[in-house]
Amino acid sequence: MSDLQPSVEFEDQVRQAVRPPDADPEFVRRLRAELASRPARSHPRFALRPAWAFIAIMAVVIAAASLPGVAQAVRQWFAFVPGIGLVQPNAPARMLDVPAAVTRDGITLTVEHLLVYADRTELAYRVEGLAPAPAVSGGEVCSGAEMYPRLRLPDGSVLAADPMGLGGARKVSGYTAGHSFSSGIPAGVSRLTFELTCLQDAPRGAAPEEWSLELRLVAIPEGTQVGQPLTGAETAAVEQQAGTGINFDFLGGARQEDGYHFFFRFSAQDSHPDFLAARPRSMYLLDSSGARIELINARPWSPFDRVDVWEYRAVLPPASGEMTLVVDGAELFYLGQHASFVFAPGAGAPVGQTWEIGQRFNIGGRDFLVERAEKIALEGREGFQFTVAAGSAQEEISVDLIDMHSAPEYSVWSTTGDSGLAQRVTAGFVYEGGVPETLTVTFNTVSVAADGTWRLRWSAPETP
Amino acid sequence: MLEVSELKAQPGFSSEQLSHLAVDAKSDPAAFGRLYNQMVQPVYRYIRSRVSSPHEAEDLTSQTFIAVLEGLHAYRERGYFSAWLFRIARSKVMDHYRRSRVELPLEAVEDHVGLDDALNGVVRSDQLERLARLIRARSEDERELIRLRYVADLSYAEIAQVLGKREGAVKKTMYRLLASIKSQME
Repeated sequence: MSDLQPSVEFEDQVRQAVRPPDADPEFVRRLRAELASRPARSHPRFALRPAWAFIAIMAVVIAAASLPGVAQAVRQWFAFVPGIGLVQPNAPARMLDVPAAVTRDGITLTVEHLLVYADRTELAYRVEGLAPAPAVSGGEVCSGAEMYPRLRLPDGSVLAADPMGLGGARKVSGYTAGHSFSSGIPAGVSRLTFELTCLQDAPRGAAPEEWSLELRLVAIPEGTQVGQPLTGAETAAVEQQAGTGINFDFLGGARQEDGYHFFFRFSAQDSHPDFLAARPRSMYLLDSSGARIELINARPWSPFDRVDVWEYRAVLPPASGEMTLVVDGAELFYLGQHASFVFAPGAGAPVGQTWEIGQRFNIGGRDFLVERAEKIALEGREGFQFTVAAGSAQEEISVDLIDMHSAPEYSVWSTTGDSGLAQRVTAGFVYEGGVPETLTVTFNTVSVAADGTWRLRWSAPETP
Repeated sequence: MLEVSELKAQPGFSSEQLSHLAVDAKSDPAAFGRLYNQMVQPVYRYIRSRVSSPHEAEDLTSQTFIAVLEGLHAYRERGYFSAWLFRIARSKVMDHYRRSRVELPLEAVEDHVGLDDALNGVVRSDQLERLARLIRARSEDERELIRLRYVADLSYAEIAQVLGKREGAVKKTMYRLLASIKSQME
């Protein structure tokens, strides 16, 4: 192959021959401004498109849910499709006629769900019989684009899965995976082929590759419920925590192999312009045997996400019978980017040097005092960490500090410091390639603990 | 709301750094700004090389970055961010042609636009003109390889992830392709 390696000069010629001009700087500026004005999206599976339809539906939901007798009906609008998440039962236009499976060398791949919407397609598949990957693998493993499925249409065109999985889980001898495709499937196409180069994280060559499965789509028959209905909301009794302005609205649960998934709204009434989101501080269930089982968020999340319905799952299957779900406190997140300060550590400060800051900021109606700075080193990179105290001794906070403004030669890397809530916390960042002598430190987000307990008594449906 | 920092000439981030930056960008608007500043021109150039007008390229570039912004929360740090990004860009281009397929089949459309139209107005030597013609005469798969390598400036490893192929196979195909084109030039 080395004999064929092109010369640098020839590669330059090819580059010149094919390279179009750069984008107009004015377009680049406009697009940057447009992106800056858009909120980050949280949950694409549930942000039903088109957007106006979703907004209209949710407006009706929120208004109607407050009426007696209507809330239960509203809950039945949602169903759970393993691997895909929460769906509206009537929203997809077509689905698989039957799950399709193929077995090769003892490994079975089953495409369990394919939901076709007007503007997107969602798919979930399962792999069973796959030998556990060795803890240490010296060879190449299936990763990146190769582990994303494709849908080949009869005309030869191929839909590649969006490189953002919908969900999925590792199993002892396989895995489940959900994927979305950023377009629907033309109405006239009812047969298509699922293709997969290799199985997720499998050492290359150790398991069959180049998987292919024929799929057939059918219109969703009238009256067919897509997905697993959420259950138990009818019998659930919620004890709200008065005085917090936060409402816990339980939509139901869905039994899964790994326990239950629970769906709920956690709505905070906070009119402060800095307010971003509220989430449970911690959540657990007490099952009928008295065991306490932690509940964890089943989806990736950041404070910039706007979650309508939260999905939490039990880390262990609970005993059958009545259980109590407990939300133990809340965490309220606020945008802090209007609050920043200039910090000038100068050149050559050693790691461990400290500076007194003593600057106070108001974010989300709360006071935050930046007490001091310290030069730190983390994994070979140097940076700064700041001690921030809540405005009152009773308050617990967390902060995320960033340097948004340093010259580009100072690449800012991951934030450091405490991740939990406390009256006094540290937060900071490190730099790649040197530390600036003067920097502007900005509060990205802050969060504040809110006391309160929300309880829900719930009886799990009998195991079939 | 996301805040994107002012556009500055960015230092060249490595593929690994870009992937780390993408993870940070999930909750860090400044990191998203850096990603945008780093990637907007390669994405635009790649799309521009596949469509017939700057207006279409701007529209599809906008769609690509909006999709990135909306999907970033679910980005997993497995593989290259640039590969993830360019798969979205390719998907947007394919959607664009799929919508307009009633007028011309995809292959026919691409034969008439892309690398050719994108270079209108660029004064080049006869040798570069000849090279461009030879590249236009190659198959779509081969032209795509060239776009990803020399327009989008992706590494062979990144191209492999975009196309779902092995890095070695991509490199071998590219070397053979360039050797073939070079021999035609001589």
